[in-house]
Amino acid sequence: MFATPFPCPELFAIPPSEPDVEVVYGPVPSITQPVFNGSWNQIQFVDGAFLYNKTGVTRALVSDGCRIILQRVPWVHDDEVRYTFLSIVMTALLLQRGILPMHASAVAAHDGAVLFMGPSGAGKSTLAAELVRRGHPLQADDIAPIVLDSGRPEVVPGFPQLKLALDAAEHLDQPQAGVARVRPGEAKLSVLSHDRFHRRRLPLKAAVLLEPSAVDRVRMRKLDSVAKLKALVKYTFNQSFLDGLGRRGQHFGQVAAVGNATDVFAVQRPDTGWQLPALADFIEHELLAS
Amino acid sequence: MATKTEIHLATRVQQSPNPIATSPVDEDLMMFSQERNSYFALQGPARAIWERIAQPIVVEQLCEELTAEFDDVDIDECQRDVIAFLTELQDEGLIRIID
Repeated sequence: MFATPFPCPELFAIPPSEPDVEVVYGPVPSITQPVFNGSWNQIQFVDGAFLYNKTGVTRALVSDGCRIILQRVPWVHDDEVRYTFLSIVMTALLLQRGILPMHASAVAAHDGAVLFMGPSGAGKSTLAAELVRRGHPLQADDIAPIVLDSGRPEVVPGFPQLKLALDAAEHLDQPQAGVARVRPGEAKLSVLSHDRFHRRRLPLKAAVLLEPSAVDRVRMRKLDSVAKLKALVKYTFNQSFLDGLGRRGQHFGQVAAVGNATDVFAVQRPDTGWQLPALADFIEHELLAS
Repeated sequence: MATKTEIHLATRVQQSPNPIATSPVDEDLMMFSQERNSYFALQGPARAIWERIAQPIVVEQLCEELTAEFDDVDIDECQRDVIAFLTELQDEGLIRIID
């Protein structure tokens, strides 16, 4: 539960209660010893706290997994600040809270959530959008948080938002007029679907690693222990932050527990043409059917 | 840093006291070394060796135990493979040699 100083339609309202995380505006120290120093953003870790600067947008300080301070550039649009908050700042917060933020989308089946991981452009969100269109509720897109507090991996609902590439939106007959972009100027739509969203935790049923490749039809193989662990580490959102946050060891235990409890499948699909219906048929048949 | 001790049949070895997190995934044992900030995987016989060096053990005795468990390997081959594997573990800081 978040209390934010700006409107955030990607979050959903719940009855008033004590927030777990407070997001406030205030002074944020400048970055003096960056571990990452790009032209658009800089990162520093200070005693497990995450210090971030997005040039021209905002500074952010994330500490103790429950406090976010933003010092925004005065003239910047809310949309830019919200995008930074919901992506890099959010994943740093989740990592601090010991929650595993997978770079994945997830849809709900009746007996659990199926996770779709993969590199950018692999078609995670597009596949999720097609499965949602076929009646499977969305559980998360882009950031899929996993918790282990019950002893078994469970997927916590993310945001009721699909980040859809424009060409995918066109294929899916998703109207584009009046739909916001994920941030100003980006070629991805932010499709909010509060009514087709699964709002409760679900056990993680299976995970899929999407691999566009030069195959003639959709293929699936089960990953062995090492390949599973590699994929789960690689597709942890901002896994490079783990060292600075002092959480690499804890994270290892989490991904191993997820890997031990869950089958992970590499699904290859032809990298040419529009293969979504065939891929969605395959996933429905292999992983979403009861 | 001290020069590396070569591992022989008479060498006594044990898992390193350095913090190493281990966690099973399927049939295999995954490890994370805080010291090296690296991941390792022990599969099949490697896992059996790792479990047997929780307590100090002489290499020769370790090999006898392994040939008793894995009956498709003869003692010479086992000793060669075990010493090579222990040397890898030593290079990664995962075991210690006990004098």
